[in-house]
Amino acid sequence: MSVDTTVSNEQILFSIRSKIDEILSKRQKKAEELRAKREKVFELGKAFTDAKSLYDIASQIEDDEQSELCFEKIDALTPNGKDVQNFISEIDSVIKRFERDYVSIATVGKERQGKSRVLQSIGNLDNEVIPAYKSTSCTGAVSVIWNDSSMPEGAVKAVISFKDVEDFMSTVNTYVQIIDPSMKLGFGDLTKRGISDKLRRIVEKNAGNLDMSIAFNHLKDIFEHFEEEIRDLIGGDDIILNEKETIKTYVAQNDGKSESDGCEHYYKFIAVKRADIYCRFYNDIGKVRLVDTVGLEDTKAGIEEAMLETVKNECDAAIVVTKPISGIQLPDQHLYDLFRENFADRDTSKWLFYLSNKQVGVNDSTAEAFAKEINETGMAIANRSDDYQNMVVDASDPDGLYRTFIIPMLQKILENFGEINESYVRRLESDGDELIRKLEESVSESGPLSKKGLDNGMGQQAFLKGKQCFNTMSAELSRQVMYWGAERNNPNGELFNRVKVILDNIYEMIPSEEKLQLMFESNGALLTDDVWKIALNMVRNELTDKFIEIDEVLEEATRRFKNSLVKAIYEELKSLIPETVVLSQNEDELDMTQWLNEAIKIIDVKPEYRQIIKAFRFLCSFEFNTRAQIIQTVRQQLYIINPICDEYAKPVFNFHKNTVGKEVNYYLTSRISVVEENIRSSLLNLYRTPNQAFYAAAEEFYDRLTFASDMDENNTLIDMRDIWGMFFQDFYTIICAQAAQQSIAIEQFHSKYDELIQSIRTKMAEFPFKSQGVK
Amino acid sequence: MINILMLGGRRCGKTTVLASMCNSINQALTGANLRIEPSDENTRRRLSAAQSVIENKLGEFKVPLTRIKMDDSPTAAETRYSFSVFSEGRKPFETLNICDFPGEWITDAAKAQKVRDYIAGCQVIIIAVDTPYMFSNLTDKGFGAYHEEYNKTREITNFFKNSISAQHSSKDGSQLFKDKLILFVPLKCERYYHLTKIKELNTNNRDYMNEIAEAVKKSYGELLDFFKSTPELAASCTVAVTPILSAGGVDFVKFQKDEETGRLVAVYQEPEYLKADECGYSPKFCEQPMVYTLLYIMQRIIRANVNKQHTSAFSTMFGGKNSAVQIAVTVNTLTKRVKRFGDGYCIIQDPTHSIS
Repeated sequence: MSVDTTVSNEQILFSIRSKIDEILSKRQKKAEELRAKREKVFELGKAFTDAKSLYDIASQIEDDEQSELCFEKIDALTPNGKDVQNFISEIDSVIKRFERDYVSIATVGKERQGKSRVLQSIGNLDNEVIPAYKSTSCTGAVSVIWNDSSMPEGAVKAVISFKDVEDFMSTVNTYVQIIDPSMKLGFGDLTKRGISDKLRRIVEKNAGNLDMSIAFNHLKDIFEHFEEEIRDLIGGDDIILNEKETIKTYVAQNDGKSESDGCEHYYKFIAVKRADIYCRFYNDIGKVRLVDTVGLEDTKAGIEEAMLETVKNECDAAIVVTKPISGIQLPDQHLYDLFRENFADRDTSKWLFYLSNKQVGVNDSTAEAFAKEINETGMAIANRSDDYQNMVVDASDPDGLYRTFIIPMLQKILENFGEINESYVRRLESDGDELIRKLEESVSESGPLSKKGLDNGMGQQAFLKGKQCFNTMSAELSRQVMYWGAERNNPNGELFNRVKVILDNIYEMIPSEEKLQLMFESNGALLTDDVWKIALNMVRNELTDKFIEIDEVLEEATRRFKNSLVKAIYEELKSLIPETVVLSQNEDELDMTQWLNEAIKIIDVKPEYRQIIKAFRFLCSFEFNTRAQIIQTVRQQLYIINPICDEYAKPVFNFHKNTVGKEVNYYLTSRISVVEENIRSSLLNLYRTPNQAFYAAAEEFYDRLTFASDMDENNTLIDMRDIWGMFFQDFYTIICAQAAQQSIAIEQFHSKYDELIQSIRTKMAEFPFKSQGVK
Repeated sequence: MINILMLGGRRCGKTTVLASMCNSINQALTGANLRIEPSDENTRRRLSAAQSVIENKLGEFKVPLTRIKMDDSPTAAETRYSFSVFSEGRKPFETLNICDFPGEWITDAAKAQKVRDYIAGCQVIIIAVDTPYMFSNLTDKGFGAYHEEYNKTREITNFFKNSISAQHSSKDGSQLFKDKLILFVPLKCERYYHLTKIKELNTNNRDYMNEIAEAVKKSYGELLDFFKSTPELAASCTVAVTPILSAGGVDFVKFQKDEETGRLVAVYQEPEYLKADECGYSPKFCEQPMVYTLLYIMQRIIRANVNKQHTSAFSTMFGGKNSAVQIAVTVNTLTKRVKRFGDGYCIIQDPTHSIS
């Protein structure tokens, strides 16, 4: 790589500018071609997205098994749509690159290697725009330096854009979580002093933890300068600056002076996302921009990843700037390996350049030794040649830099540009092959659906369904019978609890002493014995009222019991009974015997169904009324407080006018204590009665519907299973209508699905990104 | 030395019943040539204090329409009551210890070994039951809603089942549980005794006392099964239900919740329709657990004599040439005094015919 010395510098530059214009134009045409191809891929993606419209049709299929099958088919296509979308994003990224109207070159490297000095020399800039000091890390923000030949020499325009809150907080929290993994800060937290102190204490407790210490130093700057210098810039609009003095406060970390000389520090760079600097380069090399990246040894979070992203997405070539102190060091090897790993599909020997920065009088020999070693180790870089001297350059000497390095580099880039761009297309083709392979696999797996439709054997099908219904129904009824069989020796919980509540509160029914005394005193006609009797009457009536109310509980339990039995057959028979019959009430209020009554009307058409009808009628009319038993039991225990009964137990005590209230209350409490005891005891057997009745009813219903085998006129045994089969056969028109409707929905799904798969196959055949040799 | 262990829920009235028992035992032993007296001042003082408390409580009934709340002080630590047994005209020849320990020990792992030791060292176990808690708010289980919580039926049952060795093959090396008299003693049965007897209130002709015995059998069913779970237990343990009227003229009426502590408190009143001699402090059947104990021990002596095994001071108590006759007289008298049935009395298991 060398510059032809017979041609003038200006001629060379003119040639480079023209060549850049030419290749950029070619690249943009390539972008147009990609855009057209993208449309075809987009259509393919849309075909997969269209699969979602089949959900509506599939949801109309009532047959759960069929419906589930259809949903599975649609679901199987969904991930393919996402794969196609990802591929489109990849195409878009290449299109964006190809549409660029400039050649973009990144400068990368460790800290303090002279990257910024290289940029200064290329861009004819000084420390105020691109800070480059010997002793400190100085580049604060990513800068992009554009060659703008229309600008006067020495003039600079900087467009500064700022981080948004999310980006900014993501960086902040990266540091925070190094110190306290459980902590995550919000934007507003940065003004809270306590948080900084808390983090500081954690760092102090972990003295010696370097990562924590570094993270805290970054955070410290942010906390301390957030309110004054950073907060208002975050999320703000871009600003345009022309004054170099001002620009440096946004892009630099300090003014380069030593602390003893009163070094001034800047913190706005923390808020800066990037600075686009427009200036006239030292030599007009045409449509070129240089991207400065932050030094790799900088401890700021995500520096390495950010550098790789920048090179990958924004640059056509990269210069690794090194100021060698000896041969290839471990960090140098690491950086090279990093490029090789991350750009395995892009040949680094076409676009990755090394610059060995020679500081005259300081590292002359090591800079050359470094270049020589790079050459000898055979690293895949674009400026490796036997004449390794072309890699060695004093970055602070613009003439030397352009002559020895920049111009040869540009010539090499232009020479390789076609191949560099082609590598992106090849990558798309290779990914396209993989995508198509995946799609073909998936579409072939989607295969034809098993179709379900009407056939001439519908009557037979109905008969079989009847038998199937019998099996399902008898299994469910059997389960119910077993449940109530197990429950029949247990007290009915609802009845027991209701009685318990009444008896636990029985003493509250006794009128208070005061109330009784007042009753006596406010009614001159009453005798003390009358107060006693009135109190007895009041308690008796209130107590029996409460027990009469229990009937509601049992009615409700009976309703639920009947519903549980009807549900066992409802699911199988609902298609036969008009839908309007089942009231659209909520589950708690539903009375399913109404549906059973309607079912009786519809199916009471043949003598063969008499056992079914009998079972239905039995369940409809089944009632369980414990009122009489309960009231009889309770009233029997009230005899001792009922003066008209022989068992009445009058206190052996004469009530006194002045204390009748207290006396009546006292003796009534004693009596009620006995009454309570006896009611609890005498009702014990009654608690089991409801469950025993439910068991009997469930057993009767189950027995009649499943085992009531009959004889026909020829004395042939007719099994209930056959009767249900016959029953369904009779009602097969209804079943047919329903099945037909189902069949239409399934057919419709099939048709649309097949159409879709065909469309996908056609679009796959036209897929525009295929490697050569792939048909 | 005869050791009796009292088990039961907290505050169920064990001390009160001991006081009543002490008061009535010597009358029951008339003719048996035996007498029992507290052997130390502590025992005498404690029982006297307990009796005073109950008598004072009953004294409150002198004011008409009075109801009293019974909320016995719980036993805070292990309490030992020591008695001396005399034969007529002789010095005490035997010590009878009754050990009452806090109900919580049953569920305290730290005390388990101590309780095991007590059980191993005693001949008689009294399981005291607070009857109102057992019988009120009857549920379909056959006993009251509060019984398990207050009388600790499950805890007592589990303790025996899990901590007491009933098998020779027991790995922990603890002493084999056998040769015991186990008495279930429902306390405070006054209400149910009176209701059974008072026809004015018992319109259903219920035998409440028998129902109490049934409730004991149901609620301690698993424990009763344990006492016959091995051939050795079934052949050596005697089990009976011996209800007691701890104070006499005082009937449980109802439970009410104490507003301050939130605990259920039993409310008592003077019963109606009682004869004059049944009113006031008039405990009933309190001597029976002691009669059962003495008879059980005497029968063991007789069996030991037959087998030439003199295991107790009782064997020499009636020293001299007529000792066998004297023992026979004592056993005969105790046999007459022991209550085996009626009023809820029930012998559940008596393989050696010690009682029956």
